[in-house]
Amino acid sequence: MKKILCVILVGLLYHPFFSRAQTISAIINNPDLFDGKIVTVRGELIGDIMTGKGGFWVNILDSESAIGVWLPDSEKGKIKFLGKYGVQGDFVQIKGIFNKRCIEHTGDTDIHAISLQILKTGMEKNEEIPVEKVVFAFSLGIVSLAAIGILHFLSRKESPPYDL
Amino acid sequence: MKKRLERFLRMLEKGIIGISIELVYPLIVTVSAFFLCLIMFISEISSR
Amino acid sequence: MIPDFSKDDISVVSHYLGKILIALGIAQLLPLIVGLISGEMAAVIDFFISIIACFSFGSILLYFSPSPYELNWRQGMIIVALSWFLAMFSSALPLYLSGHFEYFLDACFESMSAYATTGLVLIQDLDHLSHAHNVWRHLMCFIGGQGIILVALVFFFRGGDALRIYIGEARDDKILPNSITTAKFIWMVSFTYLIIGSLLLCFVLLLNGMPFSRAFFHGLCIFMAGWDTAGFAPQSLNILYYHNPALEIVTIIIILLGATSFGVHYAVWTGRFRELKEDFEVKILMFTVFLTYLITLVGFSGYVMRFPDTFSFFRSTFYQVISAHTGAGYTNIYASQLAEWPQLAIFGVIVAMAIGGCMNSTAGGIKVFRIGLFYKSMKREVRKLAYPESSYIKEFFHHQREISVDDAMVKTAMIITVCYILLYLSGAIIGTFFGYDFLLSLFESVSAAANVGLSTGITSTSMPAFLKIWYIIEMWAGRLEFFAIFILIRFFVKLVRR
Repeated sequence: MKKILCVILVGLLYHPFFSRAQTISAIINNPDLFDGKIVTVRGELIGDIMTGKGGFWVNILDSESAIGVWLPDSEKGKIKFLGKYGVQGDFVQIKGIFNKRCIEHTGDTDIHAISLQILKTGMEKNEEIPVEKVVFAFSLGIVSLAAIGILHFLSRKESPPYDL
Repeated sequence: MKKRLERFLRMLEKGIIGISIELVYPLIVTVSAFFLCLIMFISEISSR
Repeated sequence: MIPDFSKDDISVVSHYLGKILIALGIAQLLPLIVGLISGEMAAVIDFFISIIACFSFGSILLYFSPSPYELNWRQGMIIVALSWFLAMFSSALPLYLSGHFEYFLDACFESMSAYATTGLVLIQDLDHLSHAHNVWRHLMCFIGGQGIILVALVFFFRGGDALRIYIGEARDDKILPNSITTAKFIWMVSFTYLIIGSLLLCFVLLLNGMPFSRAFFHGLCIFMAGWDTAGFAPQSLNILYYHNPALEIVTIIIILLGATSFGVHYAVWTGRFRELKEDFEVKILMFTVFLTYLITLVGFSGYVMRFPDTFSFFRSTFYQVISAHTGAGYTNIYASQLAEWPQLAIFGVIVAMAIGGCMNSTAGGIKVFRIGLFYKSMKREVRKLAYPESSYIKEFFHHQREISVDDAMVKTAMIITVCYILLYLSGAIIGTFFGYDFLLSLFESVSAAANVGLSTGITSTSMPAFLKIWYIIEMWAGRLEFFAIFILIRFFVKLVRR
């Protein structure tokens, strides 16, 4: 009977409802609850890949916060895009062990990834420049240059040029 | 011209030595603070 | 009769403010060029609009204010006080146009934080910010750290005028006989370390596998914010983003040098190497760094075993203390983790922030010089009691030259210190009024007023608007060390009465 109950409980833990992703800020704000435990986070990979001994760092950003993830070198090939200006980074799901103070990395707060799943490949985004902004900038430029020119002409007419 | 060059090189030498000393002094501070931390850490462990 | 403010003062002040606005417009050409090189046309347009606005308003001010012949002290102080607000508004414009700020107030907060070399941020989605805007954020730190006025000093002002404005910027150390020469020397030191520091950081990041362009960009940004003890970083995780203890050590070198007086730099660079060991301020700084670190360590007693080893304990604790003391505000832990520290440890960091760095450096706070002066003054008073009444007791200290402690010096230092303490407490009380914990409010208030930038999480976009405005005032007042602001307030009061 006990064995059957254990099997059911373990099965439930792997059910999508219980193994759903946590937000990064929930983990960061409750570090003692998650320290040393397996967590699942979803977010965009951002910035840069930074190599270390036997692996590499990449930071993952969700809607609220970001955290560093330590991955083995074998996972590097999966990553296609890293988020920055004009680039949408790969949207991933990372399952790994959360460390409040990682013993391997001099006390860093990080996640040591067990698995990396690319949910949506990133892409380069076309810059969206609002037309109104361009028109405004152009008009402002013309009006301002004209105004500066007129003021300069008037000030030269009224008095000798001042020295800067 | 030669005197000006000599003066410039002397200034440059002093500047380089000065910068080198300045780059080392924060490291000395950091290492000293580390030893203070180490003493604290060891005293905590030994008192437990 | 003592002459008081008049409408002529408005004309003089407007003239120089016009020049400063034009200088700020010229400064924004750099991020515009970065935007063009990076192909960030949206950012280019933002800066174009802002530059045109700066030139237009600057020209209008110059046109309506005739060229003044001589600037007096009061006018110099008013220019300094107002120029910071002018810089804040004009520099917030391209930031707000980027779309990374919910309100214009948040953009103003960010620009004042940069100029005052504080480092508290309200920007959203920093990780997707354009290179142009990011360079502008860090360049503002660099300009602010050197002093907006110093920029203008070197390029625009005449000698006598320059000195009055230089003093208004709370830099009253005459490193060199001429204020223009002093300003040029400060810029020379800064540019030399810009090259050395950026390359060192770049090298560390290259070893980490970053491509050269990214490593150089990050190195340059971190240096500009670190040297000016501002604490901005190009990514939202601040220094934690890099997961790199070696990089943290390099930043410690940069921030400690940034917090050291330019007078000491001048002495060491010109062959007086012993100045680093003998200078009164450097000695006091070392003492207070170790004292505040000791307070923090004592605060952690009973909690030390939560750290896996000494290195991680040292990395977490010392980095925060040195960052706080130098006024940099760089952090390698989350704000929520800092808020969880034991109370005495947080208090140690608060004291470190409150004291600040050296006078005539890029650091903020009360300044170690004043702390040392109080110590010398107390020593003199104790000696006076010990010796016969008729004895004449003098107390000396070495700060580029032998200086004797006098009552006027102590009185000025005391006034400024009391002003700082009142400013720290005011922010703490206002924060508590809005429902935040008192100790954390005090932390945040000291961080703003001492231009540090460490945060326990109070500073956020959801913060009450009044608190944002109050922190802006704190950053501004802390940076200018009050006298310029008192003159400005008096100026406006007199104008209104007329």
